[in-house]
Amino acid sequence: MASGEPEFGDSISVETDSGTYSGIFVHQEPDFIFIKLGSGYNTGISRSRIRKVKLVQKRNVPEETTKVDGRKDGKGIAILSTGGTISSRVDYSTGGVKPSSTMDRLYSEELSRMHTVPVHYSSVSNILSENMTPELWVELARSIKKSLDREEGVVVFHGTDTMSYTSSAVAFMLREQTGTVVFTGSQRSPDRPSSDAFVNIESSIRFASIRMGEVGICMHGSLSDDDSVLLRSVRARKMHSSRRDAFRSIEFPPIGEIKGNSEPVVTSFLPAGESNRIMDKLDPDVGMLYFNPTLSGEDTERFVEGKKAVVIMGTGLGHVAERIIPSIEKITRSGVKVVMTSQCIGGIVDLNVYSTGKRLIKAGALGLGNILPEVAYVKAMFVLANYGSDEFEDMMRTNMRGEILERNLGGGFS
Amino acid sequence: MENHGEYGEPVRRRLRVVTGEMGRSDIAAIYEGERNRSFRYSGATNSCLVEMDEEPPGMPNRKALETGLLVSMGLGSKVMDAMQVMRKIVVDGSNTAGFQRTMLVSMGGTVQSCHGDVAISSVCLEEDSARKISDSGGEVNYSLDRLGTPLLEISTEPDMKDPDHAMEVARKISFLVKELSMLRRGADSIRQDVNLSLGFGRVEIKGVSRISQIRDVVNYEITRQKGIGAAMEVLESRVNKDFPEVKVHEVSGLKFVSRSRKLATSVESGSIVIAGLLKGMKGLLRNGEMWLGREIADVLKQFGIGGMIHSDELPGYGLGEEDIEEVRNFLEGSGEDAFFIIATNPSKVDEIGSLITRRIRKLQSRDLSETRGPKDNGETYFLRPLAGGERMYPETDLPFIVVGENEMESLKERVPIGEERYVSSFAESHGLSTQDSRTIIEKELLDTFQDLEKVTGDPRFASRLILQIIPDTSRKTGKEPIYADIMEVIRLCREMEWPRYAVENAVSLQISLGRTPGEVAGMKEAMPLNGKELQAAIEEIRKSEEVTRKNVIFLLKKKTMRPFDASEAMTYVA
Repeated sequence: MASGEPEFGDSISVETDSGTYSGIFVHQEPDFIFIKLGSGYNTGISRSRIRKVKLVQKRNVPEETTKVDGRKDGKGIAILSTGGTISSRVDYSTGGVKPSSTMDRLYSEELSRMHTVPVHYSSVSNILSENMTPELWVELARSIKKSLDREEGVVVFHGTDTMSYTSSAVAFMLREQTGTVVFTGSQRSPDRPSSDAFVNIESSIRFASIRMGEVGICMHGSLSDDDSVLLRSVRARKMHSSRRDAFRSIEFPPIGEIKGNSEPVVTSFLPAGESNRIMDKLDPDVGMLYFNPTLSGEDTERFVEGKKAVVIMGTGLGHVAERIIPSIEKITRSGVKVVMTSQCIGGIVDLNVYSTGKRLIKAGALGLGNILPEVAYVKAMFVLANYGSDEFEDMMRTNMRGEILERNLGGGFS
Repeated sequence: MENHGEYGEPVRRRLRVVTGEMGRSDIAAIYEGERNRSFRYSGATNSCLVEMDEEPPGMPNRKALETGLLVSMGLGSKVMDAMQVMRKIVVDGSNTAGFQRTMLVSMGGTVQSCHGDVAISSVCLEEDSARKISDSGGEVNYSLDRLGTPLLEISTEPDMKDPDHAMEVARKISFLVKELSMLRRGADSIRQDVNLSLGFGRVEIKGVSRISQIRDVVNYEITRQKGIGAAMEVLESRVNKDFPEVKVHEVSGLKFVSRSRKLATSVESGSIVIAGLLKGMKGLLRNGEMWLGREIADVLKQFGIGGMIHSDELPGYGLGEEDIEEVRNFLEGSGEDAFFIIATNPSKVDEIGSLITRRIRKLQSRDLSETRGPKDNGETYFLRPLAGGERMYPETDLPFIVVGENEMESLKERVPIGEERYVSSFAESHGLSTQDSRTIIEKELLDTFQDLEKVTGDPRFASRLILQIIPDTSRKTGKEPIYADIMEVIRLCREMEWPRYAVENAVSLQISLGRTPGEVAGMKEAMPLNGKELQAAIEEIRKSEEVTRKNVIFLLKKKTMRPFDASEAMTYVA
């Protein structure tokens, strides 16, 4: 390029074999330079046609402010941001959506509307949720505990993809809590006027202001913006890749609802405690394996190498092909815990009904009723890190957070 | 457009103003945000999660893009090397996402016109907006049955000299698009956005649906802008350069309210009545060409505030001189001041003063730029501020699009050629006159012509049917032709190898009687007289009258309803 590399926002003029284009430099690809024309349209100009690129004026883009609007003193709600779509802005120099570390710009309007509640924002991490790790879960749990010590409740901004893993991990680590912890995210990024983030944040703050001993997920209850729900994190699951009501509480009713302009309604929630206490250890050596018709015993053994526990998503009531059972027996004999869950997601694992199940019990596999597969996986990390190996089965069967439904009322299956 | 039923539960949404790519918010978007409305969308059987804004979009429809490329090529517009789908922020609810997807396909090019070449600025491929079903102030209802339909936006430079010129250019451009869809049933809807500037900023009149309406809206705008200019001169001779802030006072308790049925009923149903002074505006609100009252009322209406009464309309609405005095005294107005009265929901009161002040100050600054809408009668009304480039940012869910050289090459033989060349080539290939060809094309009868050509096997006969026989019969009988039946009756006649005059007669019968084609073709009156029958008929007439070459046709027609060959009949008269 003739006059140095232009940067995002610079005014440039591009002379080509068929005329000159003036506009603002946006980004470049191997074969094209993209500029924003005066009409607002971005367009790509083929490098092979370009004779000269001239810098007209250096960029003149308003700097991002870092001031948090609506900040008030006193006990209120802590917002901890971990990243995800809800904390993302479009990165126009690459065209993708990237987590942003400044929240005030995105949500100043929502935060300042919380007239009665002081909101204190801080960023814990800044990643898309597929990059979350157990180490970050532990860090987050510690931040949440600290925030609960100071505030009424906590709202966590998190990517939706692994939100149920993180929120379940936090639920297990928090042994006692003085206020509500609400995870929220968005399915439409906040750079678009129709983003669900705006409503989700307002509703989350309202739920977090109610004193409960719950770790929940607050998202849309339907495709409408006037329908928010709070789901118990250990029963919640992302069941759709794109809808704003992607999260469903599996076979358990939402613990909170906000319809239209009415006040939040909460039911059958766990009570808040007197203090905040965490057991902040997780053992990441847990694997999760999805059974399929060609899965072999060898595959299974190889997968389990180096792990202390494996959660198998089996078929139906919790089955795998009989040919694999000898390998499972081998695995359990070596001291690795094997937990059976079901690919059906809804309903229980019961290894006593079919002969395959009975053989699995004999092989040392553990059926855990109606716990969700991802929750069993996170719980196994928690139990392995905080209890002895001989306590594993007992602790896994102990209903710590409502993750096991004692009675399945039969509702909520849709 | 096809009718698509509702599907699924309606959803309710709100839209929020966001900043554009360069970190600024668009003025039109901010304006919408101030209106603070919620939206209700009804799904349709032709919509999906994408229209609901619940799923990322797919790539643009290939055929739509092709049409855009072909039209560009027909206009000599340079196709962009790489096309980037953009999001154009529109937060009036007409798009569930809060933006319209649009893509610059080409730039430049020309249309020839009687006043020389008119330059094309750009050709864009866009998504159509959702169809508004109802608007009740706070909540607007939309159907999703139209959202996302491909739309070509072809913009010209401001090269048009007058309304007629604009209409000519609009017709020429729309022909290029029509030419490409000629083979499909039903003409695509074509809408015009008319932009004009009389030196006071650009006014965009959006969605003029008929080309003939272009003249009306332009003439209306000229009158309107002149009127505003005149009114402002008067205003400036009376008040300071900066129009004073309009203050609003509640007047529900004053006597005059009870004397106006309109106001009294509003108060009973929970509204309050407010009034405010408009300094120096007496006689400018509705007087000859000065209609500032409408300028103000239009803006309020967009915020769900209707029913403004102003002093230039009084006496009226049940209010007399005494009432006018009461309000004027209460507001401490002088003889040159005007005032307004509005019955409104208490929650709206705060906005009213500032909306009116802003409107008058804008007119005063001679900045009339804005987006307006057309009414059926050719008038226009305020819609929103003019949107700028700030409202565009890339559709990050889609990659950019490059049209390869091979593809461009393969499109070349389908490039539209424009009306003049199309008409002459059509005339030549069908053996028709240029005049007839032009009529068939201008009246959008091409589909029907092609069907008739197929069933008659004769383009000239098809042309005669479509331009003469069918419209004449339809006019005489006052009945609309049903083409499916006409085609069928022609087919039956041809099966019986009836001559042309008999087919024409059967078509007329079909239109006037409206019976089934089978019945019509089987009627005695439809069956042509053969040579023998014709001769016999003439002989029969001769028994009572003298038959000459001059009167034979007349006499035969008197005698029989059945069609016959006139020239053959003549040969039987020596």
